[in-house]
Amino acid sequence: MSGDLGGRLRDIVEHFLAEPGGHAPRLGEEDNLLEGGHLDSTRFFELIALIENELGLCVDFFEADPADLVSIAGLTRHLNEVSHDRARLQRP
Amino acid sequence: MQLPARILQHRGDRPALDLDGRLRCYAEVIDTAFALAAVLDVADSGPTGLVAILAHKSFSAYVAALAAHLAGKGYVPLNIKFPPQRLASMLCRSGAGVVVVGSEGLGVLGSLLEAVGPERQLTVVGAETESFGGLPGAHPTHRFLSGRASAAATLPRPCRPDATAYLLFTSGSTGQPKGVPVSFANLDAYLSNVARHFPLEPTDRASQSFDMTFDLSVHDLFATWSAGACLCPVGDTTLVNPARFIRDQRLTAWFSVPSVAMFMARGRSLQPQAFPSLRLSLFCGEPLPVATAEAWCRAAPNSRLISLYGPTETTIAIAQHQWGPGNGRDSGRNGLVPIGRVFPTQRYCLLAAGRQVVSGPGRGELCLSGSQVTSGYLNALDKTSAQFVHLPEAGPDPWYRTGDLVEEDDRGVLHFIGRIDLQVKVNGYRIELGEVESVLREASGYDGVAAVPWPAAGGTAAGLVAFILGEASDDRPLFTACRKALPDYMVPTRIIWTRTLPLNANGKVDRNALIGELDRQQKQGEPPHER
Repeated sequence: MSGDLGGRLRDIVEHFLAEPGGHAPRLGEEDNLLEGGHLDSTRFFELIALIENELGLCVDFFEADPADLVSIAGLTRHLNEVSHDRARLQRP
Repeated sequence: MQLPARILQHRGDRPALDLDGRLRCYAEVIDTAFALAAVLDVADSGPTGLVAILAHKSFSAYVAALAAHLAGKGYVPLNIKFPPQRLASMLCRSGAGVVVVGSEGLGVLGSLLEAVGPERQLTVVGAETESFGGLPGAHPTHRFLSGRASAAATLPRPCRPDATAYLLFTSGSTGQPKGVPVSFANLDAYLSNVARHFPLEPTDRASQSFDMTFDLSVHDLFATWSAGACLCPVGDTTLVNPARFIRDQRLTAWFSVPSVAMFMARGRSLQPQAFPSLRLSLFCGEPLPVATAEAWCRAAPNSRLISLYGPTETTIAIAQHQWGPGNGRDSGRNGLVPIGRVFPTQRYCLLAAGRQVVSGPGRGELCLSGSQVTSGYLNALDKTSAQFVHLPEAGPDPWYRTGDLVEEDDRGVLHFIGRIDLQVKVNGYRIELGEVESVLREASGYDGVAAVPWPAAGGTAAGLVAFILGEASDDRPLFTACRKALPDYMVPTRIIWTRTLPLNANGKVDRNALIGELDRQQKQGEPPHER
């Protein structure tokens, strides 16, 4: 699940950041999307909404520190936790 | 009591700063500031006596501001996130001869010195470092010093009331940022109003969310330390949604632009009772939507929520409105919390067309006067005389024209209606559209350029969209030029090439029509396209 989710997440993020008609930026797993100048806070929330929509998972900002959510690796870790929590709750 | 003395009285073991998990007590902050002040005291501060600070939300940054005041000098903050050319322009125009550098500023120091050139001799002081790498060799005309010296007996130096306490640059309509010197008297008047209307206590833990180039940071630093409270800086990334930070840090006082609260609402963080520790919540920098204020009140039920209003030229904030039970929850207009009432120690009037002063309830441009109002722009008599005017009908003192169209209701509460000029707010930052257009004009070679705030709601906008009248071509060099010349928040999110620009009856570009076109495209789900 982790590798699959990470790959899908990377696709979504890079597609989102690609300039119109241009190339997608090459992002490192731990690159900070905000401080690296890829996104401002407004576009960050647009990206989160897109990720939630595409993956059917909800980012938990109430509990998470945004500093843990601004890289592909961080988002993957967080969404894996969200996914596991949801699976545990759904178990009979 | 003068500003440095307000802080020095708290010298002791109480926490002054909680940064990156490390507590610094008042004794440590003050002793470090005195040591730095001793260096600043004897350094050549240049013609204006100002000290530039190249640091960001660090121990060095805060100590440097206090140290400048202990040496009887003002400071000019340089934002390490700004392009070097802009920093060099701010530094040279400020006349500062000393640059205090935090370790986080060392990365841009070389580019800054390159941009300044060898003709201007600077003293570079490392606030916490004695090592500048290869910079002294590469820039031999400048002096490089350690910020640690034995405090001189003559410190603290007195701060002349009319001397500059800090100098900030605001966006300028001609492509050149305007320098706003704020005096010690202005700052003391503001801090007295803070103590009167929404005081902090020594037990408070207050947020520090603003960059130092934003004047609201001056409130964070000096209102907190004047009260003997603890300053808790919020990291830039955390600021996107600081819910967990507020809880984990047990903050009791919060201060940010409303956009942060709006982002938190989008991140589903404004849950009921989320922030029980908060007792004071301040918002300033742009209009506060009623829906956001209501959500914040539910999330922070033990907190007073105060919306502040004030241009940089009137020292941080000059009007306030407390939002909450029994205090005008019905008073919002256009979905916005009112500007409220000007502090009783300051004065206001509304100016209608033809420079007629409105008496009683009515609508007009808000003009402000009093001890918080600054005396004009740095080395810009024409801009000063245009913005700081005499209104014999209203009183003898100069009045600052805010450019804000305001309505006063029959209870004497002021409401924001809109801007009367081309200044706009984007995510809380004040922007002159002309400055952005000036960069795009030069980079594109086309004269027909118009920038508009979009998408906009409630008197503020999330970004800028630029239209260029010309043959469509690669816009990447234009974005590059903007990023080189402008801070991030002034770089357009989109550039649209167009064959026509709509004009209004005065023959000026009709920005409302452009905004309407963007709204229409969005509603119809059309991708952005050439007009």
